[in-house]
Amino acid sequence: MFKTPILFFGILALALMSIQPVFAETERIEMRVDGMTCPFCVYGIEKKLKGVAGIEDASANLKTGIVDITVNNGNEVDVDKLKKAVEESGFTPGEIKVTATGSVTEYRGYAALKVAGSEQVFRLVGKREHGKEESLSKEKMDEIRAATKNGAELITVTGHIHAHSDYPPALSVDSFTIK
Amino acid sequence: MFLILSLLYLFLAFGVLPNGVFAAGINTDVALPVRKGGFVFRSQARWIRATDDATSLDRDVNVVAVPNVVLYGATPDLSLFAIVPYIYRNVKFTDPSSGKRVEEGDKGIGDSILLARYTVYARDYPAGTARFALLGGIKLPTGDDDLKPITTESIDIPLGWVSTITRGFGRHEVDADMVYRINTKADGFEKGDELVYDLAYQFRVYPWTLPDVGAPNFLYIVAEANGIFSQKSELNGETMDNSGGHALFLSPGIQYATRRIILEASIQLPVIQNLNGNQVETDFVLATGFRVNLP
Repeated sequence: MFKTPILFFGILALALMSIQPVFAETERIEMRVDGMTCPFCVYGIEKKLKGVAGIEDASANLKTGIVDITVNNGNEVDVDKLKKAVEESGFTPGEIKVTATGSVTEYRGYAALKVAGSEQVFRLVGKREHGKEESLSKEKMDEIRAATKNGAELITVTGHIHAHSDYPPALSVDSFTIK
Repeated sequence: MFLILSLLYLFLAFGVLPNGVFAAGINTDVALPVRKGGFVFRSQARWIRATDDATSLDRDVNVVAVPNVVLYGATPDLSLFAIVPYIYRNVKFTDPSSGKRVEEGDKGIGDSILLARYTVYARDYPAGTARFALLGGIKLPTGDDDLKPITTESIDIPLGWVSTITRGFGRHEVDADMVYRINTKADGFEKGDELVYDLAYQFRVYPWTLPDVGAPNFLYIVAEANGIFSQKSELNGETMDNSGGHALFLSPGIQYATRRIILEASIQLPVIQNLNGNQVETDFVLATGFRVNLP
């Protein structure tokens, strides 16, 4: 009497187990925090950052002055909120470095990186000097396009990010590898 | 009894509530921030012993004060403090009329202090920080009458500043503060105004070299100089000759800091005691305490 339903659910279970789960690529964020010089101070900084929506963990390194921030799968990075969290802890936020994996795409005519498994988009730009950013050079863009077979392959990009009011955050490319 | 105890006021006022209870130094204040919306709780046990009495009263005084402090980060620049001390006092002296040794003890809540610290200058670096803040507050007459003259009926105003400089990724820290306490008259008694000044140097001995990852617990050795100038007090319009003066203490200590808790201990040893009249002089002040970052 129960053989057919048992067989059905057994096959279903096996089918589900064979499907590879698709997880979003977790971004790694390294944020410099100035003035952070004792473990008691670190507690407030880490607590404020962990309170930002989408942040899974924050861990400070007193030797480098860098806080390692882990983003929850599928969540976007709000640069302004991260900086505000550090300011509210009483310290000064510095440069933010991101390592993210996704596919190369375009955003309003700009080269961009769409982070795998999330709606996060970074505009890919060149070096930023004296507060001004430069567009990603044609040579660098050609190199990325060739390496990713025109966006078909995932790419992991590391670089510094800066917020923009009307555009997604800009990611000035320091290095990249093919996933 | 009041007159006997009033002669102790200079060091009692200094020993019971030094500037350091307001924040992070052991006996010295600091200008480091409390995160916005965050709370820190601090408690310290201070044993003040004074037996150096040149008079025939041969006073032997022990005071244990436990100031309890709640710090709140109203904004990144503005920290608020509420301080309520618990005080135990034991005095032995020779009754001049009978010649017998008399012992009296009292205990209870001391006067409360509400204080605000506002950072007016902050410059953060990758390996350190330099900050300057202003202090202001009010002392309220909430203490037990049995503890007079440690407690008073007056509303008094502390005003001052505090500065902190750290360098070398927490290897070195220098703190300095100065607070002027405007003391008012109540019930015929007016304590002399006081100027409290402190200088502290902290040196991290552990870890000697910071590890490549994480924020390890720190062990500091601390050296402080803590001083107080006090004007003479007045009782019923008459200046009390046996009041006021200047005292300076050198205070070695240790401090162990983790993310959540700081443990500390210090002994304050007098190097200058120019006390007016026949006040009993302090032997030492022993302080031990902890601080907790509340979740």
